[in-house]
Amino acid sequence: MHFALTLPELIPHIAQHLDQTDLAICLRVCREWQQSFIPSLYRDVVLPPEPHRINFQTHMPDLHAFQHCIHSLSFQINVATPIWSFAGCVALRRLHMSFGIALNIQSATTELPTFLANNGRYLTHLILERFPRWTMHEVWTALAASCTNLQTVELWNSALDAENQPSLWKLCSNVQHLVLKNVFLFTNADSSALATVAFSRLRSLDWVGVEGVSLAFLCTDVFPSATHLESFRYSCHRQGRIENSHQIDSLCQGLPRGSFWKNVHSLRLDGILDTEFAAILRHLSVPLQSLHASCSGFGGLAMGVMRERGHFATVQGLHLTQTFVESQMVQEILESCPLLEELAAPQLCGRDVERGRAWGCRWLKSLSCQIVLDDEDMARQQATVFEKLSGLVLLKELHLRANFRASARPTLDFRVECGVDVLRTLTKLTRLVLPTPQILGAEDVEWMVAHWVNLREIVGTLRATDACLEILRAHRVVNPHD
Amino acid sequence: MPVTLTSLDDVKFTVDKDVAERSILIKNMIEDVGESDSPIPLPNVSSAVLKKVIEYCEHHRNDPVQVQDETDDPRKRSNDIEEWDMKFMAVDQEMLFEIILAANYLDIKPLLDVGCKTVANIIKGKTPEEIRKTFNIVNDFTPEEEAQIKKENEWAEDR
Repeated sequence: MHFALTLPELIPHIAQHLDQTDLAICLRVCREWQQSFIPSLYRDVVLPPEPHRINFQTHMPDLHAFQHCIHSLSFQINVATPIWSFAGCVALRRLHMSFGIALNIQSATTELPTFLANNGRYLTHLILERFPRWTMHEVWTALAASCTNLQTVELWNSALDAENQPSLWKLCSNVQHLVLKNVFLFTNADSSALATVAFSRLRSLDWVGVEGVSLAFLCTDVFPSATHLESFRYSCHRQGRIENSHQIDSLCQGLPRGSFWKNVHSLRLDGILDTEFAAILRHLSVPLQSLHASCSGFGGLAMGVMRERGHFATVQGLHLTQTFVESQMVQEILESCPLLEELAAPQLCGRDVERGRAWGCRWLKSLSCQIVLDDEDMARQQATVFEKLSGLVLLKELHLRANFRASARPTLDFRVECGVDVLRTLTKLTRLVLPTPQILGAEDVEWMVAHWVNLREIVGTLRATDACLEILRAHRVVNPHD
Repeated sequence: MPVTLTSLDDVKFTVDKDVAERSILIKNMIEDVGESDSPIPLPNVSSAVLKKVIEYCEHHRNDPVQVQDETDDPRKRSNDIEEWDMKFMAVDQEMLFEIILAANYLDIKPLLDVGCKTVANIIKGKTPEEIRKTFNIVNDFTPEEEAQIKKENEWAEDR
C-alpha cells in the first residue's frame, strides 16, 4: 500500500467523493482503512425507517461512539429512535426529521425536546416533513427555543394550528432561506399578525402550495421586514382558478404599496397568468437575474414588460418551457440578452433564426429548446442554425426537446455531411440530448470525439454500428439508450 | 518576476511568480521572506513530481480562486474532471499518490481535489478484494471479522 493511503488526514479528502455504499466497502478493506474511513461514513447518517424493528446494538454499534462525526442526520420520529439519548453531536449541521408511522408520539414529544436542547444549537439546516396538525405544542416550542443558529428551514407536507404558528415564525425569524411546501396553516378569527417577528436576514422564500393563509399575509407580515429578500418562488395548487387569481391580485396590489422587494432579482412563479406576470415584473426595482416561468401563462405581455424595463440586458437564467413564448420571442431573447447563461424555451423555428439578427448571448452555457426546420428549406435553415450555434463557444449542454405536436417536422442532423463541422467551436460541450433518432456513421463519430473532447453523454436513440458506439464508449461518452 | 524552486534531489526549477503562487505554501513563504533571489527549497518533493506539479500550475495559472461552497455536494462533482486534468492524471499509481502528497504539502487545493477524485473514481463500485488488489493492500481481517464489519454497516450499504 502506498504511504499516501495510510495518512489519516488524506483519507477524508478521498472519502468526500464517495457515497455511503462505497464508504462501507472501504471499511472492510483492512484495519487501517477501517479506522480512517469510519468518521467519513458517519458524516451522513440516515436511520432505517423502522428503528423499533432493528437492534441498534448489533446493526449500528458504532453510532453512539461516532455521534460527534455526524454532520447530516435523517430519521423518522418513532418511539425507539436510538439517538434521543445523544448529547454530543457537536458536528450536527443538517437535521431532517419526519413523522413516520406513529407508535408512541407521547414518548417522542417528551424526548425530542431534550435531544434538541443538547444538539440543536449548531444546526444550520432543518427539514421537517409530515408534521401533522396534532404535533404537540411542546415540539414546536422546543424547536424554536433550541435551534437558534439556523440558516435554512424547510417545512414539507405539514399542517399547523394557529397556536403553533408563532413558534414556527420564531424558528424562521433569522433564517436566510425558507421553504414552505404543501403546508396548511390553520387560522382562527383572532390570529394576530406577526408584528414581533422580523425576517431581516431572509434571502430566499419558497411559498409552494401553502394553504390557509393568503398571499396578502406575505405582503403585510413577511415582505416589509424581509429587506434582503433576493429570490421568491410561488406556486399554488390549481384547484380553483378564481381563488388563485384573487391571491395573485392581492400580491400585485400589495407590492407597490410597500417599500419592499428592493433586492428581489430571482423569481419562480408557476401557474399564473400573463397579465399577472406583467404586473409583478413591473414592480421589480432590481434588474432581473433569473426567471422561472415554466407551466404558466407567461407570454407576450410579460415579454413586453421585460423588454420595456430593460431586464433583457441583465437576465442570466430564463426557464420558459410550457409557456406561451413563441419562436420569434425565443429568437429575440437570443439576440438581446447578452448575459444569458441558461435558456429553456418551448420552440425555435429555423425560419425565425434566418429572419432574425445575430445572437448576442455569448455566455450561454445551457440551451434547452425544440428546434424545428421547414421541410422545403431544411438544408439552408439547418446551416443557419448551426452557424448561430457555433458562436456559443461556452455551451456545455445542448438539450433539443421533442414536441409531440410537431414530431413529424425535421430538426437538426448532427452528421458531417449535414454541416456539423461548423460546431467544432463547441469544445466545452459535455451533454447532448437528441429528440429523434440520430444516424451516425464512422466519420461522424470520429469527428465528435476529435472535436467535442469534453462530451460525456449523448441522450437519445443513436442509429450507429456497434463499432461506432464502441468508439464513443472508448472516449467515455455514454449513451443512456444503448 | 521569476522564482526558483529546489527539489529534494537538488534540481532547480525557475517559474513565474504567479505560477509558483498557485501553491499557498510558496505564496506564504514569498510573503514572509519578501523579494529575494535565493531559491525556495522544497525538501519533500522530488524533481519528477515537482515537474508535474509545475505543469499543472502553469496550465491553471489563470484560473479564478476556488470558492468553497458548503451547500455543494462534492459527490455530485466527482465526475466532472476536465479533459486536460483527466489526461494529466493518467499516470501510474506511484506518481498519482506522489502528486497528491505534493499537492497536500504545497497546499494546492484544486490539484489535491482532482487527485483525490481520481483515487475515488478508482475505488467506486469495487469489492473490498478488488480494492486490495488495486492498491496492493494486505487483508489483516479474519473472515469472521470481515463478516462482522459487513453486518455492522449494512445500514449504509442499503442506501
